Amino acid sequence: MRAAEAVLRFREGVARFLKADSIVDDARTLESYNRDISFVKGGRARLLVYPQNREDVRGIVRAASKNKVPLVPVSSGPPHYRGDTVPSADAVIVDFSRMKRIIRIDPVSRYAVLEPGVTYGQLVPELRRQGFKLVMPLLPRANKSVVTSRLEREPGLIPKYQYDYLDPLLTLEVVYGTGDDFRTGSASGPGTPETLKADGVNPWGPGVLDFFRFVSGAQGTMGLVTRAATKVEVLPSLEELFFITSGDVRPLVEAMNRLLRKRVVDECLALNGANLAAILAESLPQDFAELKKDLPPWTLLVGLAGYQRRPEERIAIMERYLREICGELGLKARPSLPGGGGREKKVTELLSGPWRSEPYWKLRQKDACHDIFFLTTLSKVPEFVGVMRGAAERHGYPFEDIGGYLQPMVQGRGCHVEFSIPCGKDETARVKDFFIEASETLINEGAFFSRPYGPWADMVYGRDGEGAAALKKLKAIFDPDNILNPGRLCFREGGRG
Amino acid sequence: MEKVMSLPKEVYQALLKVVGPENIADRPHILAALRHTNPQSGRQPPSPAAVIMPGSVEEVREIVRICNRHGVRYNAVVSMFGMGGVVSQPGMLVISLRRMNRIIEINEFDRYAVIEPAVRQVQLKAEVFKRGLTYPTASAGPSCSVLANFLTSGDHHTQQSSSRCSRYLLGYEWVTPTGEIVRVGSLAHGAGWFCPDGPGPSLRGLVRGYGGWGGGLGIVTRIAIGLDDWKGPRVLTTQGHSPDYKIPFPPDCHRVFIFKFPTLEKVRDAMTEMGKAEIGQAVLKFFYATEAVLFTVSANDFRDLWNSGLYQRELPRALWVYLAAWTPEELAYEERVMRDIVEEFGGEPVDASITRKYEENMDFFILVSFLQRVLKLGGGWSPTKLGADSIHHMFEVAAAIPEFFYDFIEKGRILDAPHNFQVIPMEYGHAAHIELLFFFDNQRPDWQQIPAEVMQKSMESDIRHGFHAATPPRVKAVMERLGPLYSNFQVWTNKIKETFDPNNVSNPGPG
Repeated sequence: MRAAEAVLRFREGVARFLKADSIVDDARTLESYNRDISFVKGGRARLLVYPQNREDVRGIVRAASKNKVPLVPVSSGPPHYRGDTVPSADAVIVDFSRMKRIIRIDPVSRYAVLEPGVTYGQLVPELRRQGFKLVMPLLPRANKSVVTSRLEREPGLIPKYQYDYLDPLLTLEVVYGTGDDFRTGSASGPGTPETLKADGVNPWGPGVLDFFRFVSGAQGTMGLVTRAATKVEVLPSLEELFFITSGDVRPLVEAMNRLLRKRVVDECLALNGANLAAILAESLPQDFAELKKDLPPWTLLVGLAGYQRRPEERIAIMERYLREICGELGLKARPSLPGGGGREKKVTELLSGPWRSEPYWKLRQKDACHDIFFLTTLSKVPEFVGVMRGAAERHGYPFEDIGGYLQPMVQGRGCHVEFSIPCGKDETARVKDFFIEASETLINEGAFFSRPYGPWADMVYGRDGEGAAALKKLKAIFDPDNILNPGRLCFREGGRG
Repeated sequence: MEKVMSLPKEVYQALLKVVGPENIADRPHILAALRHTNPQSGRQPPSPAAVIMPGSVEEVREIVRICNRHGVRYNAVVSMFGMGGVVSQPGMLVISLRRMNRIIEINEFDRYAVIEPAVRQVQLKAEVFKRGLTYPTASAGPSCSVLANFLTSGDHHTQQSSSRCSRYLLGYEWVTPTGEIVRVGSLAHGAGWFCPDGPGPSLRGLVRGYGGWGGGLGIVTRIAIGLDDWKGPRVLTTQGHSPDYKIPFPPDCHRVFIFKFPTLEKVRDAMTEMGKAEIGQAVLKFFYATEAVLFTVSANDFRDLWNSGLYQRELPRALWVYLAAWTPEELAYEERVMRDIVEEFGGEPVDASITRKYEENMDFFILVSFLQRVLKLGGGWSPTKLGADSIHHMFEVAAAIPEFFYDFIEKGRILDAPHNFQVIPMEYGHAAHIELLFFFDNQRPDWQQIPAEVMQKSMESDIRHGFHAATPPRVKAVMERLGPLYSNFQVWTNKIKETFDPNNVSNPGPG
């Protein structure tokens, strides 16, 4: 069956249960899904559908399976950066933005249950209103899906709350490529979601498998998530932010390690001058340039928190630990940001919510921005900063113009390292060469690209044949017709690979 | 006497070539040691056909490949502490991993340890303590395999301030059921042992979920586990001799409290608030009868204590709190917060003689080195429930225990201890684990049926109420019957088993 004909039949199938305005074939709208800011190029969006609930999703998947039509799930609003929502072949876009109910916020057991279309811009204020906070990635777009962010294992700003790389994701309701729906962990049962009394906060199982892990980092290739539970945390009644600066990343890494292993700090992240200037600049390009010049090469941002009981006492103890550790390392923890021109309050505000203004902070300097990110241990961070500097020099790209972000994860046992390369329209080819070569060099040196988007997939899976083979076996179980975002990761040749 | 099935001669010879004659046996007196009767069930387990002891992952791989070629079913074991017996069917090959007992690496900066399967809790714990580190230690006793507890069980007493063992699994090396060596996560990419998830979908999900496969999906030959900084002494100072020994910790930074509350709801609420305040190295509602067994040194001592009624009076609605801090100031702060909470919910200290036992044996919270005392009554004991969800839900489950439990008590089939359950919060109260333990007299003619009957009544109660207090065990008939109530998880579990173990040779289970 030709692709166009298959999509036509798919459309006839879903028209039986989707509302008319939930099926879109307007060329201009479809065109917007065909590319993003990444280097990924692919096929075409042939149709766009908006499910409103789990039954819609099941129907869509079954119609796609019957007609062998690829589905590409999209939950966040534009712009997209990583190529995972660009169809690799002619496909139907499943846009979850209309499934945006906050199903439950439980103040006792501290979790929220969300549909995939719920955004940071929607959830964060609602939680704050009820006395809770969400562990967030660094300044996500306000229209970014919370569920997708959790599923893709994006790092959060508070490593002490993270006990493994999927934390704070709890349980899921998912529709597999077979059209079967499934609930993970303690949401699995016994009984139906309506009769089950459990809160669904135990992510493990059911039984001997951690089902939620198969869907994580999968870019929608293993199943379509229709509901997810995530942890939420107590909103501190008292918070203090400190800045620790250095020309070299090494002492800051040492400080992060010591602070996290003693559980002293809440927020804990390091940004270089380029990133901090992009975030704080009031106007571009003048203010940005001045800030970048004045800010230290690296700044470690750490937050201390007191919760509902005796907050001042807690902060006083933690501040003492902070100063002791910094003193041991010859560092100073200051409430003011050197070179920041009195913008400390703005930093505090920014870290507590998503980025709300336009353009997105990563696009403030140039039209595009290409991120290279990977995981490593804290001990190896300085080495990889050096590797990236070397790659930049080889390609004639000023290293000081590249955004740098270090985010310890899992209580400091791992670290997300991210370099953001601003890219103007006239330098795409040059930046692409730099991006590819730097990525390959980093992988060769032992950087772990745990979320291999776009061109990274071949680089990563080409080095791990046994792992890729095992993943293909899983894909064949959960998506035997290879209809879920085909062409991503190591799933190039169909479900059975 | 059970007839022992033998391996075909050519299979035995092929296996012998892999490990040498000193590491394989099929002599009856050796196999007899591998089919000892389980004290919890009295069931006579089937006999294996042979036992083999590989010394490396390559040898494990070769053994597994031979098993696949010849259709020999196998099970890998270390501690043999599991309740299901060493093999699930007669004629299987036991792959004993006891020779693989090396601590490969302890990385103090990045806080992980890489270990082989036969590294024991007591072996690793002492090594990491020396370095000012620790790890979540399942309440299974010092002689158990660390790896097995990370892959199979893994709840422990200090998970208020940490988590279940499985959260701390950072990477693994796995011989698949068909004999491929797969290294998972960052390890496969030359990046080190720090992340088990990725690239892309996480294969970490294959080797364990809430529980583990018990050898049903290949053999894990090496794991990395996360380490935490240890607030206690680097060397534990013991006073006296076992069984009358004491291990106190420095009191300026370590203190134990036990409070009794007017209702279980108050215990629950105090526990929840301590989580929100992020205090307590350990916070738990512990088993009161089990505690009486643990802290007495003979069956007579236990009877004297239990019959005194002290524990029944003081502990049915009690909360155990172990505070550990870096400095006395921090300890004092945590104690003030704790006392605020206890006062708010009407708690008061229990009899000082009970608390003193913990103060003198603070190893309880880190290793339970006297766990084997639970067997000293000479009778049977067994756990049920063994599930997790929110603190609130676990107490909801606990409140329904009397519905099925009193019937067994009133008929004299189990010890009269209806509050012998524990609820242990994890990750500062984001979830909690429940476990119900019961003791019974194995001189009764019907004693072998008691554990199964209690477990069945417990599961029926859960299903009736919609409680998630356990998931059906990996017993095919039970999974087929109950799986549809749990999102049809058995369908996907079976597909994965069939896909990764097409010859069904990796501990297929009792059927």
